[in-house]
Amino acid sequence: MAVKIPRLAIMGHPNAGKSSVVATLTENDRIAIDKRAGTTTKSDFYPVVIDGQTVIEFIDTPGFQNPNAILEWFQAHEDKTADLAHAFVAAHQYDPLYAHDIALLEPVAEGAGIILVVDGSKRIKEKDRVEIELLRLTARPRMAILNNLSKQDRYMDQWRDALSKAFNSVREFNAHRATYDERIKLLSALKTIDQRWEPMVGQAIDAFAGDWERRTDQAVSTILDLLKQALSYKVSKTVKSGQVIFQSGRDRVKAELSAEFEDGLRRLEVVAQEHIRANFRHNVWNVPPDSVLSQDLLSEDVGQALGLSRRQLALVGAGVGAASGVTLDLATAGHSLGTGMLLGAAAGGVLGMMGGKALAKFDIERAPNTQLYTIGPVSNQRFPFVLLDRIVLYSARAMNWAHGRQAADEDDPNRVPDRDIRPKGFTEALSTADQRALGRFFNDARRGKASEHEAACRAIIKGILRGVSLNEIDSRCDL
Amino acid sequence: MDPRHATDDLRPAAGAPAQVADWTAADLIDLEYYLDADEQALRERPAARKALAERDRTLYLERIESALGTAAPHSPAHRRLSLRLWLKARRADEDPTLKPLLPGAAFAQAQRLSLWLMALLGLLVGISLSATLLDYDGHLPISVPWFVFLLVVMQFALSVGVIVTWLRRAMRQRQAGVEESWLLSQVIQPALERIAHWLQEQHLARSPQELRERALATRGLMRAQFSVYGPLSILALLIPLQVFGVAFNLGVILTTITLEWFTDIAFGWGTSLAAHPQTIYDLVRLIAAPWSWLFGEGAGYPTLAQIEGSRVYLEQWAVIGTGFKPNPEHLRSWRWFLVLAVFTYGLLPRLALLVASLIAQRLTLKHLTFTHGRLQALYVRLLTPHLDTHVGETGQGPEMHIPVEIAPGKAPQKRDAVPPVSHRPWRDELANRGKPVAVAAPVVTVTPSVEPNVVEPPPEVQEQEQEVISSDEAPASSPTAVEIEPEVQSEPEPEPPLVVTMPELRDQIITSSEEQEVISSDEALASSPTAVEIEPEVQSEPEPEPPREITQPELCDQIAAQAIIADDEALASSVSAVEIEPAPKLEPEPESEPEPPLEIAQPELCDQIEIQAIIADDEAPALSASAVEIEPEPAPAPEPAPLPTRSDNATEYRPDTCLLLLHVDIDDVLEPEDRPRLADLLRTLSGWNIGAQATFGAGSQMTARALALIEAGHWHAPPARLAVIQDGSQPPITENLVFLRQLRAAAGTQAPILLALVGDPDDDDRLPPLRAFDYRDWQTKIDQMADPYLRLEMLTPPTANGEDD
Repeated sequence: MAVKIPRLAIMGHPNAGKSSVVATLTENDRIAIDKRAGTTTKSDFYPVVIDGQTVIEFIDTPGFQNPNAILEWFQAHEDKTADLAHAFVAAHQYDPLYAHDIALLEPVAEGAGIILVVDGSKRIKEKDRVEIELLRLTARPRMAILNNLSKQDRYMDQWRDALSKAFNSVREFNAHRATYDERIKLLSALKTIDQRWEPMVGQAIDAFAGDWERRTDQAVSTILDLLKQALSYKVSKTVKSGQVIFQSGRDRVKAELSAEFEDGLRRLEVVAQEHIRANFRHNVWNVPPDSVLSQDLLSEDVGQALGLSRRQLALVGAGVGAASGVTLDLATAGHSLGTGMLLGAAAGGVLGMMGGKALAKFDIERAPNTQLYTIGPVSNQRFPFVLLDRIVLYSARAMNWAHGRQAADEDDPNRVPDRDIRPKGFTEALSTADQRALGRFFNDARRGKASEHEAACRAIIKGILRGVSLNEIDSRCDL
Repeated sequence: MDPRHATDDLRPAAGAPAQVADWTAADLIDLEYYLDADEQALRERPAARKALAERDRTLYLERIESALGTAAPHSPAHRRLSLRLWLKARRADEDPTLKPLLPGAAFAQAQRLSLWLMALLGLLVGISLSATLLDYDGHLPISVPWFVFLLVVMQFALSVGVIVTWLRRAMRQRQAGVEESWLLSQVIQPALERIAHWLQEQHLARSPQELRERALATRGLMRAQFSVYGPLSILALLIPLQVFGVAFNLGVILTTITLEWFTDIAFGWGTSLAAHPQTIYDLVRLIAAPWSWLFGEGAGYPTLAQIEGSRVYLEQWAVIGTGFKPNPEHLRSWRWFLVLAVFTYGLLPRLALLVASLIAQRLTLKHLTFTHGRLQALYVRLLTPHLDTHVGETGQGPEMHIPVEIAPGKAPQKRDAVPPVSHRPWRDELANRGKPVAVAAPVVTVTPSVEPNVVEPPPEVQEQEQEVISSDEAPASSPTAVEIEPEVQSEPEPEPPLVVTMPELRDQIITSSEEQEVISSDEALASSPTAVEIEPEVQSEPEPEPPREITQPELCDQIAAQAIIADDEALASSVSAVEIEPAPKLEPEPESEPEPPLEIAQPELCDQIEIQAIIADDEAPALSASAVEIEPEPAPAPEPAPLPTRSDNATEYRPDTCLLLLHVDIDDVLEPEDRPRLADLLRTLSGWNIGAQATFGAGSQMTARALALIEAGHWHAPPARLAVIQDGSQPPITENLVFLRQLRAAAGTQAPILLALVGDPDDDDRLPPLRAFDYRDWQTKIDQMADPYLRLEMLTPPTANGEDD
């Protein structure tokens, strides 16, 4: 190999969360992770390949099986060889007792750097000290990750002390909660443990960042598409006049039609979610049952939790109404002296306030012998905001859902609590100007025409998503 | 060669980077077509995103980047060229049979065809119209006003109209869409579309089915393209229109000239209004203003007389033979005026418009930013390095190794060999940290009982040790017995704490007797012929210690310190557990410590103490500075704890007692008040009391000592009973199982071993219940060991509500 790429062996004792760290760092949720110890039985290589060129390689190793014996061997042979790991591997290669230890020391023997993963929530045990010491003796560039999956942080300082004596860098990293931002920071820290790695690691970080930017853009496009499709969605059905002579017949047709309409909307959302999920490379991921996301899109709870408040909705409605009023003024060349704007604002406000409970209106076209029932597009003022909030929430989850989280013990009473926040959508926190821009975009989307506000909305949504991934905006993972 | 595909051919390299033809409308259409195809694929299969990113990045790296020259990424030039090259690459990859069906190609063809058609049509219309107008039957002269109105005024008005519309649109910043121009949107565009469609159909008729379907899917795109690039699409329609106009005018002019050349045509004018020839003359002069400088009066336009003479009064012409004789020259005087008027007001504006729209098209193409959403996505795909984090090499390795059983004979053998050495500075730190002062006193009080009783030690063990000791110590043991004696006196004092104290008061007696035994072995050895050899060993024992623990020179301090050392491991040995002293601290290292024994060999006790103090002083700073450097000196011990072995020899295990083996992790956190609880829990679980206690888990020396306790212990009711307390919150590793195998080898195949697991200790509870999940983890491994006499339990029963499944 012409250029020596940074190779990093992720080490630690069984069940310390090594695989979780690798999965999260490389965004790969296909890595087998299990709550049970000893899932990884051989060293697995996870290269980060940029344009066909490997720039960095993570090695997921099995856990230490005989740390005491290794340390004693190292200490006994300290004077005899400069490369202890290599010597140990050579000496014990065929001993089944050391099968895992050999597997994990082999990369180190070949020159890999070390990332020690320890569980920062636990007291420092003898074994941990032994491992720290023996890794120190390998004399490789090394970094320690305090993988604290619980809220227990009383031992963190002790760990820090113990680790910083033997490691070039010590970082906290929750493999189950790490966001994009934290991941990038951890990768950046790799630069510091061996200066020679700086260009390669920098390249990897740039690639990750560029990739992330691209995916965010894609997510925004998906969201806008969903909004456009959902807001212009219509369902119609032709029925024979004979079927709808009586009220019951009409009601039945209407009920069928609204059920179909609602299902259609739900389908659209599911498809968009699939897109976003694929976009952020989640294969294994389920939304917890109590989340807003797993409730029905059109349910009352979701409507309560997301979207805009009544007052905000009224303001937005007024804004959008005023805009349409202004066009009326323009059309009459100003002769209406701004009354159009006032009227529009009032009408919009009322619409926003009342906002029709109904999702969409029915339209019946009568022709000889047949009647065409149509429902849609969505007329409810609230709905687009709820839909937007929900899909943004979904995206936020997808973006911040660490790939190593699959085995997280969600019932563990000690796990890091998701921050306690009051149920509140993303759009609710936007400025009124932004909300109005969205409102206008929704209005245009309803009419199925290309909106001049689309670019503004794209910017708004992208702003939210970027804020979420950089921890500037709360990702509301509890919702 | 079909000229339609010439667009991608390389131009002769004028500038280094720009080796490809610039954008044309057809290229844009193809670009949009490909973008649309990509988006379609994405919509159907979200997973295709990765494939697309990969494809585009590969195209960029392999074919685009090299041709880009020096343009910086994200600069307009870079964007423009790289997208163009991307399109070229995509076209090149296209199925050859599908190539002519690309909408861009179809559009270009349609455009070309429509240009020709328009030209032909214009020419025909022009010819026929002028021929009709100039149809002279010899009776009435050709009506000049009619000709001028239709072919000059109307045309000029149309051209002016187009220009005005254009300017207006330009001023409105191109906001007006296609719908503004009715003619364009309603007539020309559908016509073009129709033609393109027809052309495509012609191709499709001869294409295989799947191609047909795919091409049909792109139908309708054409329309979308016109709206995407608004101004451009208008221009694309404007140009054929101008071509039509030009051809029409050419037709008119050519026809007029031809007719004038080959036939004699009389021109005249007439009106029902009371128009004076002077008015007409002024009008004509006005019209002829543009060319009057070149073709003057009489040539370029008729004179006043000629105008007057060419006036047609119907009554004069209707009645033939009234003697009215118009001057033929007057009637012909209009001919060049008409040609020049059509040329000036018909052809020239059209030509100007044609050139202007061509220029405008060029400019529009040149100023396209290529920044709209879909293109942005593509451009980002091109520029973003492709990131792949696939699993490079994976698979199933061997499961965690379950160590094989160790034959009973094997273990002692192992112990005889030099055990691995391990330096653990942190254990000293821990010990220092946990120095309980109060406990020292009771331990020391036990000491006096040591000396009086002398009991014969088990001979075989002694022999063994003697061998070991002698071989190791012989070179260093030059001092006389007399000199050594006082040291022996001092030695017993530190020793007792290392030895055994019983948990309960009634056991105290036994304890003392045990201690007596322990000491007695020392005494016996001292009095035996080999005493000299042994003594130095005994004497050297304190030596390694001071560097670690003792910094005060006084004897009493030393004793106290040693007592403390003893207590470090078992904080509450006075309260309950039998404590076997941690050997690592007491182990001498003859090889690495040649100096201390020599110095210590001096007779005076006080000297020795001083030396110890010196050693301690020397070592102390080093210890704090760097743990590792110090370690080699005090710690290395060649023997598996000779001292404990001796004491073990004397350890009595009554039928209801067991050897308690406590993992250091648990031992480290246990508070004095936890010891009785541990004993209680153990009794509940097994019915055993604690006969002796040892720690394990920190190196093979510690293990060796524990094993020695088993082997050397005196079991009143064999086989041995072992209770192992492990931290179960950590998953089992091979090391733990190896230890169990070693225990088994030492204790015999039928010795009951109880493995009791505790959970992760916290502040309230140092012996918490284990989580069921962790327990199961251990259980599987223990089951695999297939040891029928090994029992796995939770030390503390799980709580009723159960925190974990």
